[in-house]
Order: sequence, then structure tokens, then C-alpha cells
Amino acid sequence: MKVLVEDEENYIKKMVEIAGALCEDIESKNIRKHIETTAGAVWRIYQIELSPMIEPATKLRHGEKI
Amino acid sequence: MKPYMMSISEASKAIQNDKLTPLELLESLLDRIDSVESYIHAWVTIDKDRVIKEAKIASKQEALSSLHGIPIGVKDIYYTAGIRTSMGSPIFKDFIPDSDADIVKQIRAAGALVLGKTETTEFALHDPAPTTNPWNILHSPGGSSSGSAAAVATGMCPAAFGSQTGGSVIRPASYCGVVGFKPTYNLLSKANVYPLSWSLDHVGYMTRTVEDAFLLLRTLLMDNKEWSLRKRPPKIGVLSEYFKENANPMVWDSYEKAIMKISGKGADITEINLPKSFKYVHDVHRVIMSVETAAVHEDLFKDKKPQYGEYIRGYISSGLSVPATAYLRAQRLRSIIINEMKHLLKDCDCLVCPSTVDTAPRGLEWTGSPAFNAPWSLTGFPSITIPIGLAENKLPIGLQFIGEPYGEWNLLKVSGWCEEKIDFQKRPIDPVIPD
Repeated sequence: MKVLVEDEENYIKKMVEIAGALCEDIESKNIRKHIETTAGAVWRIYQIELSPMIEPATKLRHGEKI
Repeated sequence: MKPYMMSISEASKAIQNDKLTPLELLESLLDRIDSVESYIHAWVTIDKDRVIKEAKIASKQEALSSLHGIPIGVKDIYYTAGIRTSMGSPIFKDFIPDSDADIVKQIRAAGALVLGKTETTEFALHDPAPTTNPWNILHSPGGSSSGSAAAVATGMCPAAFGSQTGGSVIRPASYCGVVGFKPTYNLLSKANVYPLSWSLDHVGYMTRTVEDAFLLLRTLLMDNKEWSLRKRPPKIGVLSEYFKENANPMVWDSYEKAIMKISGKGADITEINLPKSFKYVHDVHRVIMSVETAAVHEDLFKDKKPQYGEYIRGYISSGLSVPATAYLRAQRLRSIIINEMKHLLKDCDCLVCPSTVDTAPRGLEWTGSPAFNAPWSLTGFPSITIPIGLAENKLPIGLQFIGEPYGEWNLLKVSGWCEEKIDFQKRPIDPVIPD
């Protein structure tokens, strides 16, 4: 799937902006690094094509078979 | 042998044969705490008067289970009625729950004593606890169940509960040279254990022997299985690829030696290739964990943001910004990963890989990488680490076993078989204080 931003670098930049707007908390280098790492992970999983038949893992409940 | 040095199995037999009372065992553990805690900092709270009173009562009662009169440590994210539960956070520094976590209720019902609350990283993420590594106090004990691992390693208690969302049971257990066990996702109740990430959080615990891990599980599941050593050598699937590429060579060398040793004793060793989906594991884990952590904390975070540490603030801030479809995509990829990983276990008793990327890091600021544990938290498969030796730097290295979902009994038998063949020391150690 293609997200609206065309490359990983720009996607990370956008997500840092969003996090800044939501949390006003990205002044620290460490916090910013976390946001960038998560944004990179989001970008990469958006690049994997998935059939609509694949459902989320929701059966992780006590007593049910995984 | 002094009582504090005993395993649960040994202490339990001594209590049942009237050779030891729960009070004598507790007093020995409290003396041990007095002599080593100032170096290790494993405990947040020990309510001495309360636990002594409980031990006196237990000493007059008949032992009804193998946990009767056994003092156990509990990570400070498990609610304990009437005992402060701080989650490693200044926000909860004075919080006293009015009920116990289910696990605490269960061990109390079996006659165990809650010795105290063990140190955790902040909200069981990565902002570190003050605990040190008993094998070298200048090194991290790992996290997030830092106090539990260090307390068991030094003989301050024979077992302690922890929790794992990424690698928070297996990693500290491995760094501290003890057994760490994480059963299948949700096999043990998480009720009244403060969450970090609902679909990834596991209850688990540390002991010094696999037999003790078995005894605890038997009690928690109200089963009556008896421990006996497996006679037939197991069939073990050995993982390499990603693990070899990322392990410190010193760790990999010890891992290979351990595999050769168990192979020499008759284990059937097969190399197993990781499925294609394995390459997504860490991204998927990251997305799920950051979103769920943000959701757990979003209300509290609004009012108490300055009281959160940097690491968890980063997780929350990033999780709040992840699109809903990305979270669901991660959970969908997780389905694929779980299914593909289950196939790996079709033809063998369990999988093995090193328990950690490296030995315990120097300094207390960083609790180490959970990279070799997170795949099994993501899939929810049971895993256990046993110590296999010391690296050149005299720090412990662990061997991690992974079983099929709900395959705990077999996993414990296989790891118990390997524990016996590898024969690393199982007694508590004195804190190592470098010059």
C-alpha cells in the first residue's frame, strides 16, 4: 500500500510534526528519536501488501487457541 | 546449607518434613537481604512486621502445597492489598491498592508469603530502576523486572514474579544468571497487574531451577503433575540467521558450545530457518506496543506529563501519532507471523536461540536489548531461559527455549533436561564488587 507521503524520510518528518502538535513534547533528542523510530516502523509496515482476508490477531485470549 | 540458599523444592521438602519452619526460612532470607541489599537495590518495599507475622502463622499450619511458607518477591507493578505499589513511577509513590493481583491471591492461597515488592523500570518500560547486576554491580541487571532477577540471583528470595512485554523476564533473568519463565500469553491472569501494552503483556517469573519454575506453574494452574527429569533426549530446533547476525560473538560462541554439549548428550539437533515474515517482527512489535502504551497512559499523561521519564514519554508521544490503520495493519501482520512461527514447531519439541544479544551492559542507564525476546512476546509463545555459563567478562549467558502455545509442560521438561546436562551453578551468588 502507498501512504500519502511518497518516501520514508518525509513520512517520518510528517509524523514528528503530528507528534509535536499532539504532545508538544518533542524538544528532547531522546523523545524525538522514539518518534522517528516508530514512524520508520509504521512506514515499513505500510509497504507490505496484505490481502483483506487477513484479519488482525484478536484471538490472544485466555483459553483460546492462538 | 543455610536456608536462604535453598531452592523452592528443597525448602518445601524441609518444611514438609519438619526440618525447617517458614519462620526460620524467612529469617534466613531477611538476614541475607540485610547483608546484600545495600549493593543490589532489588527491593522497593519490604513490610517486615507483616511478613514475619504471616510466617509465624504458616509455621503452625500444615503444609498443603509446595509453596507453603515460601517467601516470594513480587514486581512492583502487581497490586498488593495494603502494600505500596509504585510502578517505578513518582506518580504512584504513595499508592496502596486495596486488592491483590490475581497471581498474588493465588500464591497466598497456596500458602506462599509475599516477602516484598521488587524494583521495576518505570511502568515496566525502559527508564531504569536503581538495581545492580549481582555478577558485577557496575552492570545493569536488565529490565524491566530488574529487582526480581537480582533478588533471586543473590538468594534474597527463591522466586520472584516479573512481567514481559518485550523481553522483561527473559533478559534480566539471563543477565543475572537465573531461570526466567514466560508462559503462553494470558495463560496466567494479568488482573491487577498494571498494564504496559495489553496484547503483549505476559506474567512470568524467575527461579534458580527449572524444577522450581515447574512447581510454581503447577500451583498457579492448580495441577497435580509431579516433577521428574525427562529420560528421552529432546528434539531441538536451533535458530541461527537473524540471531547469529545480531549476537555478540562472545554470546554466539557460548550458545554454540551449549548446543554442542546437549547434542553430545543425545539431543537431536535440527537447524530451523526463520519464516519470511520474521523480518517484520520488530516493526510490528514496535507499532503495537507504542500505540497500546499510549492508550494505557493517555489520560494520566495529560495531567502528569512532567513526572514521566524520557523513554516512556517518547513511547507515548510516538504511539499517539500512529494512524489507526497502521495499528490494525501491525495486528494483521502479527496473525501471519504467529501462523508461520507455529509451523516451525511442528517437528521438534522446542526452538532455541541465545537469550540476549549481549551480556549485561555496563552502567545502569540502559537495560539492554530485548531483540531476542520480543518475537516470542509478539507471538505469545511460551519461553524460558536457563543460564549456560559465563562469558570472558564473567557475566552470565542464557539459552532461550521457545515452545508451542500451551506447551509449557513439555517446554519445562526439555529445558530441565538441558539444565541437567549443561550443569551451571544454581546456588545464590554474593554480589561481585569490582576494585
